[in-house]
Amino acid sequence: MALLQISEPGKSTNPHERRLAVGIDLGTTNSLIATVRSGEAIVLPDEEGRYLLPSVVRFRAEGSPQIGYPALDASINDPMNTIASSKRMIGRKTADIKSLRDQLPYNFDDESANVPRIITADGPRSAIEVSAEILTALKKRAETSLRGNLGGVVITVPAYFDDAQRQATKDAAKLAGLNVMRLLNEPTAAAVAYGLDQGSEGIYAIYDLGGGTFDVSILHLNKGVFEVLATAGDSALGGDDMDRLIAEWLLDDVDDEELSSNSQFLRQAMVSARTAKEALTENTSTIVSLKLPDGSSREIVLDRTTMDEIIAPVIDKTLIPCRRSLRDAGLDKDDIDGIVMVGGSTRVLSVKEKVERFFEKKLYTDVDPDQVVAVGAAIQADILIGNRSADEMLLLDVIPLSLGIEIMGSMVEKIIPRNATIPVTRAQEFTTYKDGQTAMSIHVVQGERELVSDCRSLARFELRGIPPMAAGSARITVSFKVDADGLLSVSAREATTGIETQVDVKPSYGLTDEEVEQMLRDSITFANDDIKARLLAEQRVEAERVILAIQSALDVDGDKFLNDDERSELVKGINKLKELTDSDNAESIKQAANDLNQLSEVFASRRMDASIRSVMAGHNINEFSE
Amino acid sequence: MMHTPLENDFFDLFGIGRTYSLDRRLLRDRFRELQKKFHPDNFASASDHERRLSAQYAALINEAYTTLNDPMQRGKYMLSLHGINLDEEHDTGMDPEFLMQQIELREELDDAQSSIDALARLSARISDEFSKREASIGEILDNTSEQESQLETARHLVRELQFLVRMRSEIEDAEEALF
Repeated sequence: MALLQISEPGKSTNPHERRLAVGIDLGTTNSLIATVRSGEAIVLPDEEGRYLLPSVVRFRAEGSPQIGYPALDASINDPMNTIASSKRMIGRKTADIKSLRDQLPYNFDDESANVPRIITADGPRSAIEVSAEILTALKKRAETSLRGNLGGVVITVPAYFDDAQRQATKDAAKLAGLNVMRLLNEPTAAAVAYGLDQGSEGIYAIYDLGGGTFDVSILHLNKGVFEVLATAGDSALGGDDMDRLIAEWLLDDVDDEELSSNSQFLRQAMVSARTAKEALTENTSTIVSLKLPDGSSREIVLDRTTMDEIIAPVIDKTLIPCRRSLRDAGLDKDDIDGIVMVGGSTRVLSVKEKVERFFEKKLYTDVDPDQVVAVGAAIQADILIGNRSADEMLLLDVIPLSLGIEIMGSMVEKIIPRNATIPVTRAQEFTTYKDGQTAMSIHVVQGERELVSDCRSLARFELRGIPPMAAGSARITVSFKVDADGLLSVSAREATTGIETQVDVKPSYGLTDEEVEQMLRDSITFANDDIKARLLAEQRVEAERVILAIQSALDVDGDKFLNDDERSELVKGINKLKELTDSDNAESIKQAANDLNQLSEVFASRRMDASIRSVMAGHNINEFSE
Repeated sequence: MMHTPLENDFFDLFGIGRTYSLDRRLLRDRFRELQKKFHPDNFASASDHERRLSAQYAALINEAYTTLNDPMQRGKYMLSLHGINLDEEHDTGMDPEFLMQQIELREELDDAQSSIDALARLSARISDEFSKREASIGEILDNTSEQESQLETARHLVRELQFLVRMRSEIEDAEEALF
């Protein structure tokens, strides 16, 4: 083990040291990782110089999983153990996956209580674990290439991902040992990559068609502020669907039963379909060679016009969210200055044609549609970790789907409407239905429909101990908080007694914290890793973050807001944590960091207070300034 | 902990006058200025407590902006500053003339369901009715010598805006269904 470095007491670790931050585009088909080096965002290649990592993981009975190209190569011969498109399954419950099943060749483990798992040669695996493998591979790539540990990451998600899908993505990152600073919406990330590049001002639509997801966001760009006005989409629509339609056309005369019994064959047809689709972005016609189940092979000519007809339903389906996003933003097509095209599927010519015809505006396609999202995420990561001033840029994003709770008659009462700017907090008062009712069940849902059964169920919890009163007398306030990642937490409070229930909305069918913890321990990824060493390293990073945050605040504002006693208390706390950081007791480091955080609360409140006062005082008088 | 911003009304927060007719451009500029300072992105490496506070402030700034930026919500909010609440359930006194108009508009919407042009015409009419009321509300609320009875009129007008907002969204739903 390397010698531990101990800094001189009382001196902070160099605050100007650049910390390593990366942006990750965790895609349906391919994933990428990017960072900012010498002020420029770059996508990191693998050892062979390839930027894309196919989002494919193959689980084997022996040895560690294969990730990326080797897995992709094996997918035709070993389709049941090679998992692609895990993004389509992440955060979805068994019933949702069932509707996707005819598109997915895998065997599912139906007995699993919360999260559907795919049976592989290496045991049942959930989409979260598959995504964690991909993230781990990217993490290794970055740490090798940047020669250091990652301080923090920004991971992109489709703007239209609901709470459960976001939470599941965050769980995957946790499994991969990544510190997620922010979940960033993919179209917003793309806008950042474009906007900062070109200093654009105006209103833009970001049309993002990936392998399995579609988003459209309307953004107002002005002086470094990226304000999302509205977003819409379909989190189960993408290039995969085009491939499937083309594959079905290719196999038109092959017996359905034979097809469904031969998953290897279907997989192969999908791959041929994708190759043909890609070839038709360059050529007007292509030849597809196909091996049939009976062993014979066949060559089929596919021309562009025919393909355009085959895939038209997918493209037309994307125009519905386009229309809705405009409507929600309160805008007409005329108000839009340009369309930014993002995602590999926008290479398809008829996608470009139809989008241009719909908006009647110029398309921006000059940044590589595969890389643009990762680049935007890297820029945001660089800011969040403190390498670059946040003054340069501000992202104001929205929640894609309304949040509400179940009321009488299985109806939904909306509490936060879709397209509300985040972070957002809303409270709503409810009352009891029966005389003497002492408990209330609260069911949180997400979606636009009026009936609970048509929305996504996020969580259920109970508020107990309501004092018996006449029906309608109790006052229960339910507060919804959506943070800057788009993640929800809910609390409920009964007014007359002050009973409070706090729930972190872990989706009803998602993983519990304990399950994530357990997976962390069991995970193949970390079989060779000493779990203790990892926890210790994580606590140290966290302790350093806390020290750095409080020390730099002290340096700037310590004299202004603290008396000598308060100040020396804080310094004492910092020194104590510093000393412990060098020990190898993760638990006591954690404790000391918590203590220090608590100790700094008064200081933090005074600083924030002064800050908002100074802004409100008309932007000129600041009673605290010298 | 949130006492500073909560003690003040939304207009103070943005440093603008407490008027119904407001400069929405200035409001947007001030909103961005505030978020540039308080958005959680600025506090990603700050202490836990500062991060929590920034999330609370940012949420409050968003709420204030959404409220003031929307004519119906702004009216409702300003009335609440006068101690007048729009309690829909217990509110009965609607202007009979407007009630008649409501019924008429609803019937028109039913008839227009399948025609894009008819929906567009109806939508334009709603916008027109909306603007008229917006102007009247401004006249009452921005008049410094406002009287109790006039505030009552403003309350009716804001309730009518609520109805028109609902109509507008139903027209949009009908339009969406036609595509």
